[in-house]
Amino acid sequence: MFVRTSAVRVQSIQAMRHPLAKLLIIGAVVLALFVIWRGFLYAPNDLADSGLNTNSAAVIGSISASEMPSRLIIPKLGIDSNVQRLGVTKSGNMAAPNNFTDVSWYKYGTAPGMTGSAVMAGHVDNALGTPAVFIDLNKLEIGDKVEVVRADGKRLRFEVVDKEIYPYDNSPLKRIFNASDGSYLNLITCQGEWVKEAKSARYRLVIYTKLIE
Amino acid sequence: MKISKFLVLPAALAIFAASVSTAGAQTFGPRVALQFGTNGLTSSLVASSTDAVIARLLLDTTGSTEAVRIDSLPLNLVTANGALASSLQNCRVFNESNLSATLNTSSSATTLFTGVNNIALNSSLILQPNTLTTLSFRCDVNGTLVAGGTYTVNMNTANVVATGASSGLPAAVTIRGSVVVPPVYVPPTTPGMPATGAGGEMAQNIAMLVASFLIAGLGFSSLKKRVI
Repeated sequence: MFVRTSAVRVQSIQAMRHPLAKLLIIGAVVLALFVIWRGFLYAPNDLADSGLNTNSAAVIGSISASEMPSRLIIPKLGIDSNVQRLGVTKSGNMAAPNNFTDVSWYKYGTAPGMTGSAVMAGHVDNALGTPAVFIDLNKLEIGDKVEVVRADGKRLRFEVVDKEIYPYDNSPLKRIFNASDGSYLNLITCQGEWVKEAKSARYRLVIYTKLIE
Repeated sequence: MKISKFLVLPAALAIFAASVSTAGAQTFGPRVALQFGTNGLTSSLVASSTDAVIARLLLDTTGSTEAVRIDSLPLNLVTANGALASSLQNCRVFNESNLSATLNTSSSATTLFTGVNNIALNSSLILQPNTLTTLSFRCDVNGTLVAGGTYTVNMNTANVVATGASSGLPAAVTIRGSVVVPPVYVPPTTPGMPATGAGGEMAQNIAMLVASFLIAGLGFSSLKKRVI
């Protein structure tokens, strides 16, 4: 009698375990897929207003659609990357691309090739610590070439003229975004260790390039 | 059976009075209702931008017994909090079903002013009875846009000239609502530095991956036990 009761109890526990085990496996797979997607593919960039940050949103009147950049090419680093046209984040910072392979262009600034400072940014690594588009940006040296392909297919060539590293909270923003003595394209990425309180890397690497043709 | 004239007369009078009062509500003739829509207007205006939707207008001829003709749109612009009417330029009216052709003449309301802007149309807009037509009013926004300013667009029934397309009779016009364009947004020319490193989240993500493997392992071992 006792043996039979125990057997029934074991069977009922096993019957309960079966769907629970399946649920655990499905949950684990979903969690793993989410982490992989979040780590490799999607970079949340806290945009101020999605309407202002999409390619189709109203853009600066003085820049025609054909003059906007569509690709960034850096032959020395093997980079040939799509350009996202973005604005600002909720905290007023230039928006970074929402993935780890594209770069972002600050669409409320200057277009590459025009007088002023056009600015592009790209991630240095992804959320699993593997390399992103600008992982080797620090290998650029003065004299290296950078190219931008505009939406109309025109190719612009820039030359690296300076290379600086600044603290994340103390950069010469006017020099980076508002120079007016030439046609510049400035490339930005993160450097240094992670500052947990600021949720930011400690430094920013800025590569200053100037239009040559 | 004889019916008393004292009963017939009041009944006849009541029927006549009812028919007169119904006629007073104008069940015949051209009619159009103009309603300001709010869809697509959630984004703030941006300085130096093009083709910003200022207002959407739904023209409803439900109940009209003939087509309605409209030759102009008397849009009343009200500015507040320092907004300048002149910040809105190259203003155009479109039928939302065909955004490739403007409906207004190029000389009318290219730049807006505060008050009633009577926007003349290239050719008469003929609205068939019992139809809905959506128009949009779009402008370019120049660099003088004032941060925090608002624009309100409305219309006054008295200013709207709508007539029956065939009879020429004045149409009954109803106007519903107005539209307030959200506070303008002036993007910074010097934003802060972008956040371009995600590696700081690596430890957390790897921990989550390990946890997912452990959970999966637990599930598989539980399944295995059952099979044994």
